[in-house]
Amino acid sequence: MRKRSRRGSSSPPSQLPLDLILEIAARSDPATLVRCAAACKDLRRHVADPAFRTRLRLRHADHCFVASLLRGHLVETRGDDNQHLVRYDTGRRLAAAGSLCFPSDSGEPSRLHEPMAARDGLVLVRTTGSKQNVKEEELRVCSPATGRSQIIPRGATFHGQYVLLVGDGGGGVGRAFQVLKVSPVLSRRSRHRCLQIQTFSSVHGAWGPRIRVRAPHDVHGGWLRRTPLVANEALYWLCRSDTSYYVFKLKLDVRAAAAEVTATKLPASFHGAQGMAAAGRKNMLLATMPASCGNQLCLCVLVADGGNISVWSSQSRGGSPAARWSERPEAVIKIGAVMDPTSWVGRCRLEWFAERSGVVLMVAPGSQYFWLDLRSRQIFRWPLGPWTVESAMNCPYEMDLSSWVPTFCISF
Amino acid sequence: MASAGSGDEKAAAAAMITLISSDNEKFEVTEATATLSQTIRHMIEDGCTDGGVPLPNVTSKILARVIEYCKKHATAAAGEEGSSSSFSDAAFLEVDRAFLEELEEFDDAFLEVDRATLFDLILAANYLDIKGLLNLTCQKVADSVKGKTPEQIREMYNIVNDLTPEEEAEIRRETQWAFE
Repeated sequence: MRKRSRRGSSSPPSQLPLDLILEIAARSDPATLVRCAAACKDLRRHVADPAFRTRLRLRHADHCFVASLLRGHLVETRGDDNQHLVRYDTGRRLAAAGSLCFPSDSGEPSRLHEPMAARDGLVLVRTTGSKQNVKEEELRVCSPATGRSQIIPRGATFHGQYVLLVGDGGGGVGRAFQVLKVSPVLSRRSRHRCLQIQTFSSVHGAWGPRIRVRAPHDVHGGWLRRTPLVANEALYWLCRSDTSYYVFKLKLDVRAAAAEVTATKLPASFHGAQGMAAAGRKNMLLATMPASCGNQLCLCVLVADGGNISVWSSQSRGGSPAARWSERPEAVIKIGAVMDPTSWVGRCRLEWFAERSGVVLMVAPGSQYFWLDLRSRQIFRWPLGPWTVESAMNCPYEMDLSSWVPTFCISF
Repeated sequence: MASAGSGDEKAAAAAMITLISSDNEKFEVTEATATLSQTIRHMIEDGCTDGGVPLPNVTSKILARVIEYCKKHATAAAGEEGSSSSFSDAAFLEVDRAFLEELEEFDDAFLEVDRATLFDLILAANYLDIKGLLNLTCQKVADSVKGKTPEQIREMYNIVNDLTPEEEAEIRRETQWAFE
């Protein structure tokens, strides 16, 4: 009886001040934090305040994969120095910090910042400019979510593709990473096509030796200049010879300074259907099927053609390493419903595949961006905004949930 | 009663501090226990603990629990010091681990209270600036908020909803993923 009355006396419960409610919210998980920020205006204001980020110690992030959080677009509008992180499905700004990873340089007006590669929340940016008529170039890897960056030495010049690989562990940007310079070259002696690779490791802080490996087929170099797909610690390119399409798989052993390229031929029916496409048309893109998980990698090739995107997929059977490609498209996704294709039949470009979240960035004539979600097969249209292919510097980008910070468009 | 000014009492291993709750109950604790609170540590350093430390924000019921926590964790802190200076063999480490497990069990049991008490403990830990206790209690509440709707969160913290239904709908749309 007495106990009861005592308990009764302690209610109504004490009111926690806002600061302590925030202290608690900072220890929850992303979804709960967002819900807390939807309780009242004051809480929302404080959670959205960048000062709150230093208090964040969110948990359970590993259990909740929030796809929509992971896809964004880093946009720098030409003519003004502002950068924005833009959500793919709404076109809304995630953040609008003055200079997320392209430092604004006062007094040096002619510097150009170009995103060269992006993966797992990090972006590789090349800055070029001239100082007293001397050309300067700087490479840096940065995390737009946290604003941290690390300058890396430029190394030898090359004509090819930068690839960013991200691992775990520390470093200047909070993650260990590798930058690869990959270029297709013709061996002068043997006249064979080769891949030349040089790797910078954030752990060692230096560029390693150049590795050259012969391509197993005589493919056209342009295909190897496109961004490769990275999965299961290997790099994949879709490429074409005069008679066939192949998927090249590059396995790197940086420590042994060795590399190996293996090729899988796509079925003759694929070549029959697509003919001799040019890499620059960007109507084909290598991606992974949503079902892929762990070591069970399931590659697919997307082909944009008119109002359709056809999906050709491969299946690894048993323990055999050689994937078997299906003889015909596994699926055809109609894109007409969202993207009125009548005005630009056959000219949709497949720009980029976001490996973690499984979405494809597409560009339609008229410089409109679209995202295709391979899981739901839904197409999202970027609302008409100030950002088009021509007017802005763009970098499709996937955020990492571990570097997620709350940013809201709607605040009070 | 410990008077901070006298030299030999300072030298005594167990200098005692008197804490006075809001309902005027007195608690005698060792300095080692009391100084888990940064607030009290500073008072001791400033020599203003003569005649006891009045804590007008903390009831006797909550203060008793806070002291219970501090006593346990002060021993833990002392134990850690001992292990680094004099013992390093495996047998001692074994004992050490057993003690840490015991401490964890103590913390778990300590948190088995109703929400009102938990909130009062948070307020007291914040006021007394006891980092470990604040972290422990805040995490406990944070774990229990998981999965709650904004309405349930308002109810829990006694927050007045100042959002219009339109604003709420807009917020929901912006961060739909968090409400699924």
